Amino acid sequence: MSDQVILETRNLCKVFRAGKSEVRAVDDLSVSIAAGSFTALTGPSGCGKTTLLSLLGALDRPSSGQVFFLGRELSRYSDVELARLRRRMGFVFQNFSLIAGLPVWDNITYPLIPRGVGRRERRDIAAQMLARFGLDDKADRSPSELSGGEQQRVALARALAGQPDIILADEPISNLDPVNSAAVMSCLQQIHAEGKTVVLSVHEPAIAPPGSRVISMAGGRIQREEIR
Amino acid sequence: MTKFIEIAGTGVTAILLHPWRSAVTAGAVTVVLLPYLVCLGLSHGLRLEAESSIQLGADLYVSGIQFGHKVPIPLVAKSQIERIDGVTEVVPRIVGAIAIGRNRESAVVVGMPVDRFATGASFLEGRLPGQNSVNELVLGSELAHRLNLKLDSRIPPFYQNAQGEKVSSVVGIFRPDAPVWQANLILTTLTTAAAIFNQEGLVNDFLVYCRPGYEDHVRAKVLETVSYRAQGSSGGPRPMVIQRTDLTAVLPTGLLGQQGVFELHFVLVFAVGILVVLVTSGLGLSERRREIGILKATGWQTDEILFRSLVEGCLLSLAAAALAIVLGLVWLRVFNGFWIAGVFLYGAGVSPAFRVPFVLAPAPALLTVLIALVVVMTGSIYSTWRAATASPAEAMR
Amino acid sequence: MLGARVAPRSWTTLKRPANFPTFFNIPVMKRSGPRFIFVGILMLTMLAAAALTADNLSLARRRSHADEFQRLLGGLGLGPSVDLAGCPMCFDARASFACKEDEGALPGSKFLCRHHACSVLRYRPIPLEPAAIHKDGTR
Ligand SMILES: Nc1ncnc2c1ncn2[C@@H]1O[C@H](COP(=O)(O)OP(=O)(O)OP(=O)(O)O)[C@@H](O)[C@H]1O
Ligand SMILES: [Mg+2]
Ligand SMILES: [Zn+2]
Repeated sequence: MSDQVILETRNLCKVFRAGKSEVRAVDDLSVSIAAGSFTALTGPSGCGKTTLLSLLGALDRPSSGQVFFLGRELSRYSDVELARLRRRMGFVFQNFSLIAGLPVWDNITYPLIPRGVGRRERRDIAAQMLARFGLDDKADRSPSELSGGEQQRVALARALAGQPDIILADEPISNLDPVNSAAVMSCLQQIHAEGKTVVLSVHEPAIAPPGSRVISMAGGRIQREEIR
Repeated sequence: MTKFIEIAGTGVTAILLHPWRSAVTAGAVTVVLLPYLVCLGLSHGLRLEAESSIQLGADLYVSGIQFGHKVPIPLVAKSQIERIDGVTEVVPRIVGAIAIGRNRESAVVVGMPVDRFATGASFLEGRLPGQNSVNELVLGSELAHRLNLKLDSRIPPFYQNAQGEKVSSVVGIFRPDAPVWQANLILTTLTTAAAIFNQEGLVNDFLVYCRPGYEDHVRAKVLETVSYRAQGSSGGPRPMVIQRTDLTAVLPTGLLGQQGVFELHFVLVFAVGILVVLVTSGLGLSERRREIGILKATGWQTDEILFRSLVEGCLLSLAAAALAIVLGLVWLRVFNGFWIAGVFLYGAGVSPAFRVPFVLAPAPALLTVLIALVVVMTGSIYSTWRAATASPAEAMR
Repeated sequence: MLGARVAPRSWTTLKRPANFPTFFNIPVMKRSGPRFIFVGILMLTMLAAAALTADNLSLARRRSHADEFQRLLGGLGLGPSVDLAGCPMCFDARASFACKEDEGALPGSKFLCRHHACSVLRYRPIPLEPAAIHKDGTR
């Protein structure tokens, strides 16, 4: 584990306005995430985990405050640079966000298309990823034919297909049975062992592997931090 | 290179991702294009026929004019015109309107000197009225159809004049593929036509043929020498001469700017078409916005997403334009402009019994493709761009 | 490597899990689908091009009667009307020097004639040359 900070936030705020009411989903939050670390965000529902992850993943613009990637502030990235940056991150969405109508293998490797990966190669990559998650026979299915847990694994496979440096996973095991969640966690640990940075949100902090950093959130702020 | 081919491939896939949206978009554009295409084709077809009508017609037409209206000219003026230097032939012609049959079908009676009919004619079934014949008629295909007349049918007296009533006979029927203006024609001899209108001694025009280069001279001479004036009066009609150049000058030129109000109409239709495509192509389609958000979130660049959309739009508009062209040709050729011909051609029924002039030249066809592109692109690129420039999380919401 | 493809690859609509956040059930895309649509559109385009070419090539044959007809009748017909009942000028500018319904006292009544207003071949009346009138009037 190196001490280099890969992601950092300073006084980060994200305010959602719905009519007159205001929700401070992330409230003056400063955190830094070291390269190669394993970080788990926990907290009650609605405490801002998803919002923080999407801000870290350059998927949303903060209302105020800054996000830094390797010391450079995200708002200074151009559109093309942001796209390049997102290719270095693998994001697993809480609602999976698979493209309905596209077969599973295509969903997994769609992010590789603009990187110039050919169709045949994409199929191979998809097959490898599916084999890793025990979904070998689902390559040509539609996401809508899969169970929630299967879709979750497909979403994870998509995030990993591009061999990102950072994995940002939003509740990657919330829909899984103990066997599959153990499989997914060991997969994430394996990626971590390869030197990648992993940030995930979980409801149950107990599943975080030993030595990982657990950040408890409440009301958009960091409440407590510990190393397991 | 692979990258662009692959992205283009996803553009094709995108058509299938939202099959209904694609179908509605292409369908809407086709519906907008089809009448436009039909109109352009009719316009061009008619124009070609009009051009041959001018080119192969007489060099000059001499008639009378009074108070700005066309009036007949006395047959006796024929010899005055024939005497003019350079004139090779003068043919009197009667063109008049009558209503015939129980349903009062309107018809155009054309009478020409019988010696004009000496030659055979491939554009009709039967024959032309013969020498010394009376009341032999050649009918237009539409008129014959409406009156349910066949070759050698007899027509009970449909006009009355000083000589009483006469039974006429149909000796010929124009083929449907002769120029459109045959549709409601009754072609007969000058004598019979004069009898039909009870106007002996008067004709509508003289068709004047002259040696090349003499047109202006003949015109001037006709205006100078042909006298109309009734004895002892300073009023009365005056001669009027129409030259070929007068006719070519009034015909509109160019692909655009010739259709008058119908163009305004179609500008409006295009505006509506663009709005429809805007809606169908995703301004309101959250599914599509979400999809673009996912692409952005997984590292697609805005220009790559736009390229994907561009390929999709190009294919859709190509499909729409091609479909419109095929449908237009089928409609006008196979179904002979069923219903639509009657919209644009006055006097044509729902199902015309004559061949509707329709020439779809490559230029209007290409214009159609272009218009389809503009309509689809304005609609889809804008909405794609809107979704692609928003932050991914926002687009995916 | 890809595993057995037992999945039903068809357009039949399949039930999706309740947690899948979309409105409609989207059919599974066949692997051949995109290729099919691409080839389909190309073929449609080619069909249109071929039909257009064939149509334009047969133009001369279709109009074979036109010349003979116009020669015999000395030039008859010019506009988008097949009889004289509506606007005679619409039938032929030689049959009437002015549009029948163009003479109203209304200002700007240019488009009053409905045969002209929506016509596919709109032309002006033949100008009545003042010189001609003058010549005749003086002699
Ligand atoms: N688009 C939005 N518009 C308005 N409010 C929002 C929006 N997205 C999130 N919020 C609000 O922001 C707060 C944090 O939401 P967030 O999704 O980050 O919570 P979470 O910690 O991920 O919850 P969960 O564990 O249920 O996924 C919530 O109160 C939520 O209602
Ligand atoms: Mg969440
Ligand atoms: Zn008119």
